[in-house]
Amino acid sequence: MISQGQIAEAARLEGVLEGAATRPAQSFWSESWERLRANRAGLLAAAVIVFMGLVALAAPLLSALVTHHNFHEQDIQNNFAPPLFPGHVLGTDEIGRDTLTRLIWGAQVSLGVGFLTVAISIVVGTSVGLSAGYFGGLADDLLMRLVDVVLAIPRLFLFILVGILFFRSTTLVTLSLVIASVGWGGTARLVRGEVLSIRNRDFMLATRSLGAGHLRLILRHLLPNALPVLIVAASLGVGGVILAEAALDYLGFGIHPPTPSWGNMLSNAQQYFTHSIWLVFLPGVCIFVTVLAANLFGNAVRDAFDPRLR
Amino acid sequence: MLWKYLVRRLVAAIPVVLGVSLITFVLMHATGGDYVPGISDDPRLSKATVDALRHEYGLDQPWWVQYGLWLWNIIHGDFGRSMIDGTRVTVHIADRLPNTLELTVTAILMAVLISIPVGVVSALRRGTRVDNALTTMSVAGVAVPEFWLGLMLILLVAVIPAQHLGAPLLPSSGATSSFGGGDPLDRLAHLILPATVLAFTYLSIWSRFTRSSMLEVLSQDYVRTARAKGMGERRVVYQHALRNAVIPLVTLVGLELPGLVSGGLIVEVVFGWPGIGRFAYERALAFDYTTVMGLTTFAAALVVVGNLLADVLYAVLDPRIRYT
Amino acid sequence: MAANDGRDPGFEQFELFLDAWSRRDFIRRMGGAAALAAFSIGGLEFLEACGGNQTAQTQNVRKGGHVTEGSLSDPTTFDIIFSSDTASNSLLGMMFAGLLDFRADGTQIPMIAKEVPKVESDQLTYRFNLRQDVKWSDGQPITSDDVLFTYSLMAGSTYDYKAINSRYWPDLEQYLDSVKAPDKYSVIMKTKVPYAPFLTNYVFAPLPKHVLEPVVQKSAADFRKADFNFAPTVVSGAFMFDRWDKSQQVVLKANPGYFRGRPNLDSYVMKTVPDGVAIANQLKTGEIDVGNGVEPSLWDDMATASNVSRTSFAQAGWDYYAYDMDPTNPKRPVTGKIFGDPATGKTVRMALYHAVDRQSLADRVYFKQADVATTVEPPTSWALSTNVTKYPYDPKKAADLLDQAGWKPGPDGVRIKDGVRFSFEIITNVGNKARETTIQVLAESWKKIGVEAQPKPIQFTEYVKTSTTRDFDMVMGGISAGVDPDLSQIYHSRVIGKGLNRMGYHSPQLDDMLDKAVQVLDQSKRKQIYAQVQQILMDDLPAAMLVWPRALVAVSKRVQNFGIGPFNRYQYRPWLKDVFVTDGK
Repeated sequence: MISQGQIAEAARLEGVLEGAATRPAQSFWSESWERLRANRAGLLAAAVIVFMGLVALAAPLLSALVTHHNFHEQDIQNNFAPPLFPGHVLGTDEIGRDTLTRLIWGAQVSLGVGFLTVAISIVVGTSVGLSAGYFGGLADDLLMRLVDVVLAIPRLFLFILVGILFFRSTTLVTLSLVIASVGWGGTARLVRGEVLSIRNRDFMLATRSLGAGHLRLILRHLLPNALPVLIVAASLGVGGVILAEAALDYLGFGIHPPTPSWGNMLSNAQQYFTHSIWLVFLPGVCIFVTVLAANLFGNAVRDAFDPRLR
Repeated sequence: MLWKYLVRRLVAAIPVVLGVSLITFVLMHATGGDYVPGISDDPRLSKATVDALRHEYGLDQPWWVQYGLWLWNIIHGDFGRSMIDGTRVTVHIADRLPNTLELTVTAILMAVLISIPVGVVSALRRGTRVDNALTTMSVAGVAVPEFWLGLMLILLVAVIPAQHLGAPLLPSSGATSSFGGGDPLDRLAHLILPATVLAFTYLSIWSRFTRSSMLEVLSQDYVRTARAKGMGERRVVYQHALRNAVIPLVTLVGLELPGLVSGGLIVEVVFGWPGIGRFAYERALAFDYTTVMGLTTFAAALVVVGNLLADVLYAVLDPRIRYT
Repeated sequence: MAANDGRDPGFEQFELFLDAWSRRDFIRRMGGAAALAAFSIGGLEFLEACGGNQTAQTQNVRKGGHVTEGSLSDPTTFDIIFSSDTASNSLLGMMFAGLLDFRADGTQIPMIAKEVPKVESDQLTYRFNLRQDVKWSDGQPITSDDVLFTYSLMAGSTYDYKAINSRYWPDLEQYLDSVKAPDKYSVIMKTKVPYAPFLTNYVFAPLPKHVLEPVVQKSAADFRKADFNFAPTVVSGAFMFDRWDKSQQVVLKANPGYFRGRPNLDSYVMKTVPDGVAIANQLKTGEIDVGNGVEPSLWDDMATASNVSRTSFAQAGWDYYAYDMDPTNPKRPVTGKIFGDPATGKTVRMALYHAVDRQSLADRVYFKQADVATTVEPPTSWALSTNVTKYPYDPKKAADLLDQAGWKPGPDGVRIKDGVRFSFEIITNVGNKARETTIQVLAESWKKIGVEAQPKPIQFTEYVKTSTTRDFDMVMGGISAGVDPDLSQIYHSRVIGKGLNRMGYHSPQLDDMLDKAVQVLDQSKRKQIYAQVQQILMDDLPAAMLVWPRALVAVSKRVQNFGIGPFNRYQYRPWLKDVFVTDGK
């Protein structure tokens, strides 16, 4: 199973291959932005993600005003209803809960875990990577040693162990922490790599000789240059986390019913395959489309910042 | 030069493995405390008996003492015994590690062998429908949940053919037939589905990567020169471009070496593959501390070795890489 | 060693152990609809008649071939004194013949013993006359020495039985007085007090003394880990151990020296399968021949598989939920006071029970493969009584009862009394889909009457711990019982915190009756006592019985004479030697 860190690393290597960014900051950004805007697949992907995100945020509203169900309401006499059943546009599940409503709330959970995990990974990973890369020396050694340890634990083993720890109280937040506990390492390495390649450039030396403090150098010069790589990693990361959450649900960890997540809806539905194939198909499609969109967007960003590919 | 580098890396690796073991230990204890599988959950045993057994396992000591003892044993090569069946952890590992490696190595090889031609064809026919189709499939491939893919394949390849043709096309679980199997052909038949699922995600990424790598190489000066010299396109591609395009792929493959041990966990569970990943998962749920500790530490050690191997591989393949 | 194959009556250990090893436990025990009606015409005969795949064909028997059975978990040991899970029990039952055995309906039959002993006039002594033609697979005769040796591992003064730590020693310490062997083929067992469940629960298959004595003498504490327990070299049953491919399958081969005649089959394979869906799939593909416990959601689909025949029957088990009803429970004082309040607790418990539509649960969550449970005894029990309080689905009555008990609806719809909100957690173990779904249905049912229950599936090990820690509000689970109707392990006050009485239920009247009932050996008298026991328990409701899940077994059509039934599911399969496969493969 490929981790988000490894996907990001692959993306970075692809970028390196095509010639890493060596242009100065300003026009680079506007050029890249132009390229991004011209990439129709990428824009479509971004639209899909934004759409899903909005659905996720508006779940309570949609549930009250559009579907008129909430996600735990049961209508057990009408279980396994197919789509277009009266009152249930996309059908019902094994105890008669409305599938559409659960997909909407599931978006909140799946995307919530995705974004929160990535956010945590990036914040922690970037801080560590920046510090290690910039300050070097002992700090670098220690921090990277820590990163090595975290990356050495087989990912799924760690998920299982930490998952057991948080079992009784697995919420969106704790699950994100669990998955992020592994993800930040990859980001740290990525950022550190970027910092190392930029640190000794002329413009850096120049700025430093002008008396700029550490913080200023890090925030105004290093970070912006690391940003493209981060955006790509984040985008690919969200997709990876959504898949990881589904895998954890399959193993028995992750978010438990009645709270719906696309992952737990998909795994639960496997045994009801013969009663309603929709229960398998619909959450699967949601996962697939969202992860695909995240990946396409990530690729589009990378393409925009490293044009030699297309 | 290479040896010094290796030795230094190995020495640096030790604290990493220790760190892993410490984290695992702390986690297992935070979750289970002093729970002894099979003993603590038998409510008929008197408290005295349970305490005596806890003492025997050393679980009544403070956690850092327990960790110290465990570490001492590891240094002497004793990974301890399972708390559930008393078998040595090293025996458990030896029973299952070959199965996992068989699965992951096959999957990686499959992925490489498919990625290269797919990526090359895509690059050579850049912009055409073939390229678009292949690229779309690659991008789509990464978005499919692994367990779901496995379950679908089982249905398509085993269950449905069995109902219509009388027998499954391929077996749906295990590494060998439960009866009368064991020969290489039988093992191969069982390997195909799980390895395919595992390879699937790899090759989705690697084929795209090969494509861009190939494109990069094809636009290099030396390729243009070769063409200008009148060399046949085939020779240009296969003799010069391909070799150089593949090298960066090795970098990516190298990134996967550490995941050789645990990467197949989901596939192992879906297909009932008797590997280390699935075993660790089952034993973690059963609170078999010693086994989980041993397995995780062992896996971490392998990860570190894997990283080392990957580094060596790059160094060997690309002399431009310098060691720091 | 209860009649349902290796489990103490009322002890859910095997099922819990099963959960520990399988990710998804889809095995449910379900009650037979017809069994209920049948009890009015004399249950046992009926059960025997419909007990399993009794296609007893004596003609066209083919020799040779193998049968593969699918199991959700790996076996853990092949030693009867340690085993508690179904996979292990099934296998050791094939390898080790017992003194006694069971028919599918639960009646005991002789095996190594010549007849089923009748207790002597002192009500304490049982005399076993052993057959003289039974041999171990290495040619040594099985004698009373082996029986004595087996018991000495769990009781007596020969070995440190506490160090050996068989799961049976606490009970044997309490009930067994002595085991003596006056000659090579006689054994006399004596209990300390008259104990009715003795024959069905505590008569074990003998272990080979000549092989194991040296092992246990070397180290009693390490006996559990002896190689023999994982690869028996010498057996007495229909099959011998061939090999164990860890995490994959166990292969047994026919024992030519089996005293009842060599089995028709050459081999028997117990294959570990990932989960319930895989069991159904592999039955269809032919990768397994026997699915001993098919997931109810897949049962209808199994009917479409033309190579498989299905059998379902009532079994000795029930699904229930239990209350924390001890107001002094330090871990959960709030719910303890709600459910255990001396004045209103019972009314509350009754109210909640009335609010559950159990028929709907059986129809929808168990896909009609379960029956509404009406009493605390399972449908297979000879002691089952219908003369108990009934609790029809009546949400209005439930609401009224709660009002009566002083629980009035609060501003958010959840009932309040004296400033306390009627809110609690209901737990069950992860991995069992029917249970996980059931707690959600329960939560919704109670929401409608203003009671807030939060469904929380928890890790198996934590779930098991609640029986000792009692750190729970309400637990939902399933119990698999044996032939004996004794319920002491669940409801007697002496097992609070030590047995399954997590509820903290204490009724001196019930304790008395339970004690009396196991000391009376006359079945009709016992039946009367259990009728009263059921009345009390269905009145007090420390635990609420939900449904009786049916056993769902699917067997390949090429397998014949597979006489599986309620008490012939795992360890006890006396018909195994007659099983054959039509294609001889």
